[in-house]
Amino acid sequence: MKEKMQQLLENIKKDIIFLANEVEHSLRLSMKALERQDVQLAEQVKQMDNDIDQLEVKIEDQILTLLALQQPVAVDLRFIIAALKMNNDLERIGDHAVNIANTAIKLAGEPYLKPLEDLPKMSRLAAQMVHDAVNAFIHLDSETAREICVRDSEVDELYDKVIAHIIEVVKDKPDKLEQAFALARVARDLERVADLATNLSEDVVFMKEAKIIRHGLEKERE
Amino acid sequence: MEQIKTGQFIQEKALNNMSNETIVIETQNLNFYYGPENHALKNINIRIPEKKVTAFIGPSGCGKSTLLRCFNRMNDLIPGTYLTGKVLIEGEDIYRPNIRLEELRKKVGMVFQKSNPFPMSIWENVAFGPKVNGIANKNELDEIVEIALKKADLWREVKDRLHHSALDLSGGQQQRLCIARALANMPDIILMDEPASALDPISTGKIEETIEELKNDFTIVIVTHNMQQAARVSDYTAFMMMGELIEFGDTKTIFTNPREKLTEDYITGRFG
Repeated sequence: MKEKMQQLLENIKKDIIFLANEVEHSLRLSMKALERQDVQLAEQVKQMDNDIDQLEVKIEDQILTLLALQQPVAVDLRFIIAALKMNNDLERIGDHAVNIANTAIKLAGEPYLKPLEDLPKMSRLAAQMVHDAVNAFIHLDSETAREICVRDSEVDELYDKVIAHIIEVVKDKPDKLEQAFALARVARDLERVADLATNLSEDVVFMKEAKIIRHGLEKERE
Repeated sequence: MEQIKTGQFIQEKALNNMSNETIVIETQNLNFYYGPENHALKNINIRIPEKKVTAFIGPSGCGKSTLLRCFNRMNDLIPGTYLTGKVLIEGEDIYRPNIRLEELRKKVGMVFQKSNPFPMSIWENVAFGPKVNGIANKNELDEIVEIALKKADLWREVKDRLHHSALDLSGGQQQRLCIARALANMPDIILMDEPASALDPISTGKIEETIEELKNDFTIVIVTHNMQQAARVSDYTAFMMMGELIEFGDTKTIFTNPREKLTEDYITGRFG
C-alpha cells in the first residue's frame, strides 16, 4: 500500500514539474509576443493555456484521490499540501501569461511610444524566479527558495519604476492613454507572477522545514 | 549509556510540550524483561498527562503493550518477568512491596483488544466490580450501572434489556460494555490495548467518540496499530521501536513534522 502511495506522490511531482515547465514557457512566449508584436505567438500562448488548465485539474484530482485513499502524514502530507497550492499558483501564472498575450494582440497594430526596456527586464526576473522556484521544488532546496523570496522586492521596485515612467509619458501624450494603460497592466501581471513565484518558494520551505514563512510569520516568531 | 541520554532527551522535550499539564503516570528509567534474554523495555522515561488521550504506536513487538501493562502491573501475571526503574501513578511507586494490587487496578482500569464480557446479564457485568468492592445497595448499583453505561455511550441501546445476556450484544456493543465495566469501578486512568482493532468502521467510530467524551473525566492511554486512529483520538503520541521510546510529543507535531527520522519513516510507511 505504502509503495503505491510513493508511486502516486512521484506521479504528482512529475506532473507538477511538467506543468511548471509549460507555464514558464508560456510566460516567456507571451513576453516575446509583446516585444515583437507577434499575434501568432500570442495566439499560441492562448492555446497552451487550455492544456495548462486541463493539467491543473488533473493534478488536483490526483491530489484529492491520494488524500482520500492514502491518508498521507508527515513529509508526505506536507508535500501534498504544498503541491495543491503550487498547482493553483502555477495555473494562475499561466493566466497572467494569457493576459499579456491578449495585450500583445491588442497592441500589435500600433507602434510603441518608446522601445520596451523595463518590462522585458521585469519579465526576465519574474520568469527566472518561477524557474528557480521549480528547481528548488525538484531538489527540495529550501535555501534557494528563501533566496527567491528576497528577489521579489527587485521586481516590485521595477514595477514602481515602470508605472512612474508610464505616467510621465502619458502626461506628454494623453492620446496614448490606452496603450499606456495596457502596458501598465502587463507590468501588474509581471509583478503578480513574481508574487506567485514567491508563494511557490514559500511552499518549498514548508515542504522541507514544516515552517510557514509567509506574511513575515517566521521573523515575528524569532 | 547512550540509551539513558536518549531517554532523558525525550523526557526534556516532552516536558517542554506539557508545561501546563498535570502528570498522572510517570516512568523513571523503566526496564522490563521477559526473562534475562528478552529485554523488552529499555530505559523508558515518559510522563503522561491527566485527562488527555495518549497513544502508543510502533511496529509489532516494539514494547507498547508491555509498557501499557506496566501501568497496572498486568505483566506480573507472566512468569519470569521482572523490571527495574520506577512507575509512578499519581506520584505513588506502584512497584513498591506493600502495594494493594486490587486498589491499583481499581484506579487503573483496562480494556482489551478482544471484548470479554462475563457470561451474565448486561447489568451484572457492569455491577460486578462495584459489588466485589462491597457495594450491596441495589439502588446505588442501578445508579452506577446507568452512569457507566451512559459514559460508555451504550445506555440508549441497552436500557430496555439490562437483564439480557451480555453475550447477545454485537462486537462493538460488547466492547463498549467492557468500557462501562471498567468505568463502574470509578478509575482515574483507563488503559486500552487495541480496543477497536476487531471492530467494523461504524463500531470503531463509536469507540473513538466514546474515548473523546471520556477524556473529560479520565486519563486514557491507548495502544493502537491503526495510526490514523492514533491521529484522530489522541492528544499525545509516543512512538516506540525495539523496546525504546523513540519520540514522544503532541500528536499534531508527530503526524505533521516528527523530530526523529525513525518516526517519520514508520508513520509514512518507509520503514524497513
